[in-house]
Amino acid sequence: MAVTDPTATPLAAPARPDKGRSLWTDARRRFFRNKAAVVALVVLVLIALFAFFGGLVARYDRETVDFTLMGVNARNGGPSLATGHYFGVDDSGRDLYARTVQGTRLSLMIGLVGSLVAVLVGTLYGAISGYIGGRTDGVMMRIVDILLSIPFMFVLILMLVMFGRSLLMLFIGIGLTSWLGMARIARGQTLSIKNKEFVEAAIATGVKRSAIILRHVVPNLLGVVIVYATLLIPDMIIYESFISFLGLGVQEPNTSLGALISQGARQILSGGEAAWQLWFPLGFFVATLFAFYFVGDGLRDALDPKDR
Amino acid sequence: MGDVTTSAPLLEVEDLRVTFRTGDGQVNAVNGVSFALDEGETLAIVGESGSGKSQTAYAAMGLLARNGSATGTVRYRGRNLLELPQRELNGIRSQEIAMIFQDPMTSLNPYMRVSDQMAEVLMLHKGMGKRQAVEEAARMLDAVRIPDARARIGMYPHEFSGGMRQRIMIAMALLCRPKLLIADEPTTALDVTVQAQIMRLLGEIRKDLGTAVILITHDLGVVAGFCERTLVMYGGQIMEEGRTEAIFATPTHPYTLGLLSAVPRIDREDEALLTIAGEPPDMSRLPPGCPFFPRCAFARPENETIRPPLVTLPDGRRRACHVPVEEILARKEAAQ
Amino acid sequence: MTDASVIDRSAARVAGAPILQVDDLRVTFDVPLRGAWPWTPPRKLHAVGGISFDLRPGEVLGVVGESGSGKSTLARAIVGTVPSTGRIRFDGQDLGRLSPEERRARRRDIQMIFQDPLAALNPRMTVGDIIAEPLRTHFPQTSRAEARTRVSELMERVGLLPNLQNRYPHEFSGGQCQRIGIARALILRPKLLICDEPVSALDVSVQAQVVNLLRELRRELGIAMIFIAHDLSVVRHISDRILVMYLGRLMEMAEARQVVEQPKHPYTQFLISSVPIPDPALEKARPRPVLEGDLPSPLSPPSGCVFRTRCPKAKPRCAEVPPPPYDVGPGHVATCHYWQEPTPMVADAGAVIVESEAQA
Repeated sequence: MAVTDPTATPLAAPARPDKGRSLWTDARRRFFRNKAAVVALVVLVLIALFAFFGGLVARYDRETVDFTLMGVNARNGGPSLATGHYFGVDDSGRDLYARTVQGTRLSLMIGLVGSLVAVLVGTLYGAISGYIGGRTDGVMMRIVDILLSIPFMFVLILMLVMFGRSLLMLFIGIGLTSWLGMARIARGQTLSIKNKEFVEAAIATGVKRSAIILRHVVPNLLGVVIVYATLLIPDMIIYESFISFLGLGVQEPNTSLGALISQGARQILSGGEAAWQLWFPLGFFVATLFAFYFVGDGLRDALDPKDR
Repeated sequence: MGDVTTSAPLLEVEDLRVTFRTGDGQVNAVNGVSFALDEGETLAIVGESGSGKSQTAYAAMGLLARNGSATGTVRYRGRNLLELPQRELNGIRSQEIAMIFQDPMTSLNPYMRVSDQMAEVLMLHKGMGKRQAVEEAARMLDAVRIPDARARIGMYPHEFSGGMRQRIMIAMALLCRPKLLIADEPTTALDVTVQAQIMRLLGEIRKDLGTAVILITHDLGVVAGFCERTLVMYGGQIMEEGRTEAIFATPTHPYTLGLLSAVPRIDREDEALLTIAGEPPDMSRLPPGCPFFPRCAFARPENETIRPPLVTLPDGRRRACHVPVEEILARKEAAQ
Repeated sequence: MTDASVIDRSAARVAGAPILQVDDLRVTFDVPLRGAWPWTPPRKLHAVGGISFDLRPGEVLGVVGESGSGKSTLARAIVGTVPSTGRIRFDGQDLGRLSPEERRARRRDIQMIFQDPLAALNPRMTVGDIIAEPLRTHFPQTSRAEARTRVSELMERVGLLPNLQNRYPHEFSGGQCQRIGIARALILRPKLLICDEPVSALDVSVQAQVVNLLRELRRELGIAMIFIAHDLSVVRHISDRILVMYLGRLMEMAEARQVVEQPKHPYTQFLISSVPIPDPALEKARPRPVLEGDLPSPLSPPSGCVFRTRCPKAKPRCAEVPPPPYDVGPGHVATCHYWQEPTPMVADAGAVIVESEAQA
């Protein structure tokens, strides 16, 4: 009896090859079914548009002091369309809208850079360590352990104090540490992928080691990596904000959400009434973090549908 | 089912339907299954993956996954299990009907000593004291032939081999001397020699305790040696049901016939195996008529839309097929 | 069908020099002790302890054993994904002496199919790419169009619609995934195909399809196969010869029919009488002796004969001297000192099968 029965797939054979539905397509479908995640994504896009193009509608730049409001800030410097200070002005009379746009942009950049470094360095490092295994794995992971055991915040503060406060230093500091957690996650994931039969099949076929890592291991890591990277961005933003809140982060005239919140909070603590100075940056900060967490959760559900 | 017996059956399932809500729509796992089981009887539910054989049992036991729901009736000694309050169902489930699974680790707690797990059951349902319960548990482990049971009862489940774990699970299931034991693929994960040990054990228990057994399996060989009656399922429906000897000797359903000829036998050296074309059905897209229609060698166009009723034959067996019995028997003769 | 069988079985014997010679193959794993320091020497687990056999071109050797018997490790040692000692000569070449690069190149002649059909396929690659990967690896100069044509041909041959090339593995059923795995294994026209439990994860009706497909391919292409399975019924169905393993050692090896009808080793006899037969009348009539006890830990296997702890006819000598492979018939070896003595309970394990065959 013949076994070549294509009846299994009740399709007539069309000449044109069929389009497949990849796991990515499936994940996208699942993601867009998750309402909270989609709303969060929309919010994120809006925030990003605000951060990168919000400057176009600003009537002032972030440095210019509005002398007309000098001394009457707290009373007349509130948010107003008439004055063109949509978000009001800060203590020195600078346009808070322009400053929030720039601060948001900087915070997003820090988050993205940290996360990008984590994805590039961490994933490859972890994948290589996990795939090669044995002694190499031991040494590579001990290096990560040692780096992780150094209190990162402390070192970063020391570096900023020693080498002076600069944006570059901040990026370097965050980039240096952000990949460590990712490397560990990527390695753990690699260990389980490495024992999958499709990797064994590739080895048995004679595929080169580098090709196995790039073709078989890394694509299967990406799901986890993307989720972790998305959740890493808000962490990085918080780090930076914390440093800036301490007054060690970005330098004037640059600012970040952390620095703005710090100023606003200090102003309120010292009995000021210009509450908008805190609420606007804080609002953007919280909205950004929430949005990233929700998108991250949505991605996790979409890319890792095990629990469903 | 049709024939009137003097005593009421132990378990009576009528028009059982199970549906699952999934992300891809509704899946009809069981579509109107009816059967009855007498006290002390052994029934095999045979089918491939997706035949609904396990879900039938889970539904009867109230163990469906959260997105599943069951309709119909499952009467155990006259009481409909599907409508029973959770508390009463729990009582029946632990003391009257017991279930064993393919993977013993699913019902053994890996963080608890075997002695504690078994004693807990007895203390809860039989009101025994701890010492007495452990004693009884050890006796039960002895009964399922765990060597050195008294010494090993304090060990954790993972310290036992696969076959031993299955024995422990059987011992736990039997602690309250249930009237009905449902075994879901109890030997599928085991090696043949261990399988032989476990099946012999189940046979002895059945004889000693008079427990009725429902054996859910895909392995026709195991069925042949163990069960009085066999129920063949496909696509969530009963294809054929009757005495095991009759079903195996003269299958009257194309699916049963196909299944029996597709199994390689150690005592045959035939050339190519006869196969059933195609693959088991996608349960979310079942054809409106006979579920076996797309793979059936006897199929006629009308079978695609009209679902064959389950008809009782003169010899007491039931089948759901439009094709006349004679035609299938003739085909079987020709093949031999 | 019967004619085909005659040609089929004799074809294997006609061919001359063996394509694969395995000599005293051993695989040892290091098992770290629990709670030990990193520098304490690990314990040795002898997964395969000295297996020797030959395989002729186009022949199918079935390897049977229960879990822990080392049958899968044996397969992996031959494929080379697990380090081993002993000698493996393939096509006259000692694989152990090849440089890593030569060995990698040699891999194209030995291909493998796996137990879990879906897990053996990279979920992020299209089926076309999966099947073409061996081709891309060993013949990188192959043009895309050419590769696609080859893939289409093969998909058609194994019973898949070629227009499904761009689909992903999860869109196929288990049986179809196994066909994809077979297509991938065949694209380089290997001389040896190693099948590791290729049908045990499949439904009964689909199992038969895959077994038939493998038989057809073997007849058409003359590939030698090592077919590993725990199911003796399936193995008998596809193999010319059967090798029975227990705890990493060879117990018995002979022609398939010999093993089933005249098993000489007590373990084989128990194995055969444990296999359930889908025939209620026969099952009721046939004695069902049961092999008692558990598999000993492979970390501390019994001395002498590894089967002696469960063997009903074990004698003191069995604990002292490991039995060599005794010649117990033409092309039939069994590693039991007392193979001539009948085993209690299972002496007629083969006779039951012979009788049933005669009745059919």
